[in-house]
This record gives sequence, structure tokens and C-alpha cells, in this order.
Amino acid sequence: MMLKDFIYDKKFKILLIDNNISLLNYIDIISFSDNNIIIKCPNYILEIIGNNLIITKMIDTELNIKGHIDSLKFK
Amino acid sequence: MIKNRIIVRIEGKSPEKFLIRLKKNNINIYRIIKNKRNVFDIEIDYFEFKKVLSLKTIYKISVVKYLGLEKNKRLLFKYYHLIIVAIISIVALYLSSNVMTDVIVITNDIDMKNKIISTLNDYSLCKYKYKKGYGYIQNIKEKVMDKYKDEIEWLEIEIKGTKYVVRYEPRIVNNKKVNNKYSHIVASKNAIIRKIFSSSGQVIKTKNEYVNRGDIIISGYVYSGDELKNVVSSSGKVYGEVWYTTKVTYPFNYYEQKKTGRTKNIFSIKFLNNRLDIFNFNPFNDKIINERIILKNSILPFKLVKEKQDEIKIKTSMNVIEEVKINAINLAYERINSRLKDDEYIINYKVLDSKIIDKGIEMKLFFSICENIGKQVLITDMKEVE
Repeated sequence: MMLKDFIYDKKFKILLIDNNISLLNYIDIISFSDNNIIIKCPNYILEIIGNNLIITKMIDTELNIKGHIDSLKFK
Repeated sequence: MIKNRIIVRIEGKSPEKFLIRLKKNNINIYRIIKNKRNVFDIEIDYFEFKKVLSLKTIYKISVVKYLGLEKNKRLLFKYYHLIIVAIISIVALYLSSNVMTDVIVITNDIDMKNKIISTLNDYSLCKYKYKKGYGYIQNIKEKVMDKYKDEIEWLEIEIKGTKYVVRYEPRIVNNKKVNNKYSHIVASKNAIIRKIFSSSGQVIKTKNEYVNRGDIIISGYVYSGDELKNVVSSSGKVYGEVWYTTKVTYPFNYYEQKKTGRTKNIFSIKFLNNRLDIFNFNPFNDKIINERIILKNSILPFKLVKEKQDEIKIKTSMNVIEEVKINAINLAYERINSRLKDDEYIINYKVLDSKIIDKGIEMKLFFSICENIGKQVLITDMKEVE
């Protein structure tokens, strides 16, 4: 991997740690509520289902979600 | 990049939709805190705040907190008067501790003092000038010593607070009295010669011989028999017994002041002949004051001084006649003694008369003193050497 690719990594990634989920290089948020968050990703639509879901960070390339996650659905 | 952010509160129905709207408008949200069901606190860049306000529609937006640069900027504006006072204080403190207020030359020689002060003035070591560094002062010290090398043995310039203290040792030239002109040593007053020390010239008077004022004791003419062999500048010392009468009065009242050991340091403001002590709650009734000037104005008669006050106890009483007589003699003795040089001394004294006056005793005393009576005078009527 070149340094440029490492720094400006454009690949979509999902990082799941305990009750936190971090999405890198997502495209858009379609909708969100306490139980359901729908996110548009490069190749699919991701639906996160759970309880007390809260978006804690929302910048260009990164999205952090906190809460009890039951399931992830890729459509 | 310096962080410059703001936390804003979004209230309204479904604030989630508003957050999605912000995202669609490319506004980065660094932190989202859900406070209540329809209340979110979000951290955004400060420069995006106006954009957020323009997008708010039905939502209520309020500022919770400023962060980073904006926070500091607002604090600065809020406390600007305190900051200005602090800056002025620091500058004043810096100036008051780095601007010199006085140049003190420790000497009794007024001419030399003026010379040194004037020279230091030329090199900016003077009042109301910026304090100079050690290296510069050492350099100036060398220059002053070089300029007055015939008059100064060594010189030291010390910085004490905001004052330059100059100490110097005058150069003593041992053979400075090289007198090429011819002279005699004559008696400066009527006396009986007690000692003669001659280093040049011919001694023409003897020990225990009475001399009148103006008599030649060591002559500049050097004879061999009756023949004048040489004319020199005579030098030497002649000690003779001279006599004085003095009159003293001493009061019956006894006065004594004694230190109690209690001291205090106070600051005092002096204006003309008025003084105002600062925080002097229990002033001493009787005291000795040593004052040090801290601040003075050359135009206004105003001074700020630091005083060291020693409390004293004054004791007065009446003396008996015998004590008064002894004290009167001691007083006369001290008065005469204070006028004598190191090599001169009192041979004897006698009370000539003593009488009681209104408030004390009046006494007349006679003193015989061994004193240097030699005086160098130039020879005006030169004789030809045969």
C-alpha cells in the first residue's frame, strides 16, 4: 500500500467494538431513530437495528453510532 | 489547525431529521449528545454556525458553549480591562526595577565625586536610564579607571536595587610633594620645640628651645661653617608644645537616651515638612530614625522613604556639682582632642577658673598640647651659593 492510499483511504469500512459501531467512507444517512439507522454505503444499503441508538459523530467520512446493536442488515 | 468550535443545542420535533439535513449540507458534526427526547447538543465548527442558523427552519437553536479559539477570544473581550491592568502592572514593575533612580559615589571628595558622576553620565550610567548589564558596567569601570589613573587606585560599581553605588580608593602618591622651589620650615605658632624630624635642610633650632611664630626651624640654606654650600627645599616635621585656654559650660540637668531594643521598619510619605506614616499603628514616643529614600521627585518636594526606627528611652535628672565639674573637664578634653591629628596629643591640662552660673557650671581650662607646628614657606630673598 502506498502512503497516499494509507492516508486518503477511500475504502468503506465497518468497525464494531462492543456497543459502538464506526463506519468509514459511507455515502449518506437515509434515516435514523432510536431503534433503526439506515445508511447508504458505496455498494449497498446498511440497516442497523437495535435499542437506544445514538449517532455520536457525523463528519464527511466517518460516522460513529452508540447503543445496543441487535443486527446489521445489508441490502 | 487551531480548534475553533461551538456546541449548539437543537430543540424541536424530530431533530434527527435536522441532523441529516446538516450532513447533506456538508456540515461536520464532531459530537452528538442526546439530552432528552427531542433535544440534541452538537459540536460543530464555529464558521458553520451561521449556515446552521440559516437551515434551522422550525428548530430552536441556541449556543451552549464556545470551544477553542473562539472561547479564548470571548474570554479576552470579557476580561479585557483586567488584562490591560495586568499588562500595565507588569510593564510598570519591569520599568521600576530596571530604570535606575540614583548614582551614589561614596566619598568625601566632592570634586572627584562630580568627576565620576559626569563620566558615568557620558556612558549612560545615570538617573532615569535603563539598567546596564554586568559586562557593560565592567567595561565602563575600566574606562573610568583609565581616565583617572592618577587619582583612582581601584573603583567598583555596584548595583543595589535601582541605584548604582560607586566605591573607589584614591591613589596616594607618596612623593607628591616634590617641590623644586626652595623653602624653609618655620614655626606656625609660638611654642617650645619638643621633637624635630628633618629629611632635608639644616636644623637651626634645638629641642626645648622657645620659638616665636615665623621663626625658621629647618632652614633651606645649608651652611658649612659660615659658608653657604647649598639651597634646598627643606622638609620635615616639628612638634612643639603649645597652649590653649578654653571655656566650657556644663548644665546641672542630666540627659540620657537609651535604646530599648524595639525597632520597626515603616514607609513614610514626606511632603515639605509634613510626614505621613503608612500603617504605623503603634508609633514610638521617642525614637531614632534612619531613613532611606525610595522615591523622590526633583521638582515636587515629595519623598517616599523607608525608615528604620529604634525606640529610645530618655532619662533626665539633676547632677551634683562634683559630677558636673568632671563632665565639664571631659567635655573640654574631648573638644580639644577632636581638633588634633593622629600624631598630636594633649600633654597636660589645668582648671584655671570655675564658677556656678544659673543652669550649670562655667569652667576655664588651660591645655598644653604637643602639636605639629612646622609650616613650609618659600624662600623669597635668595642668597647666592658661594
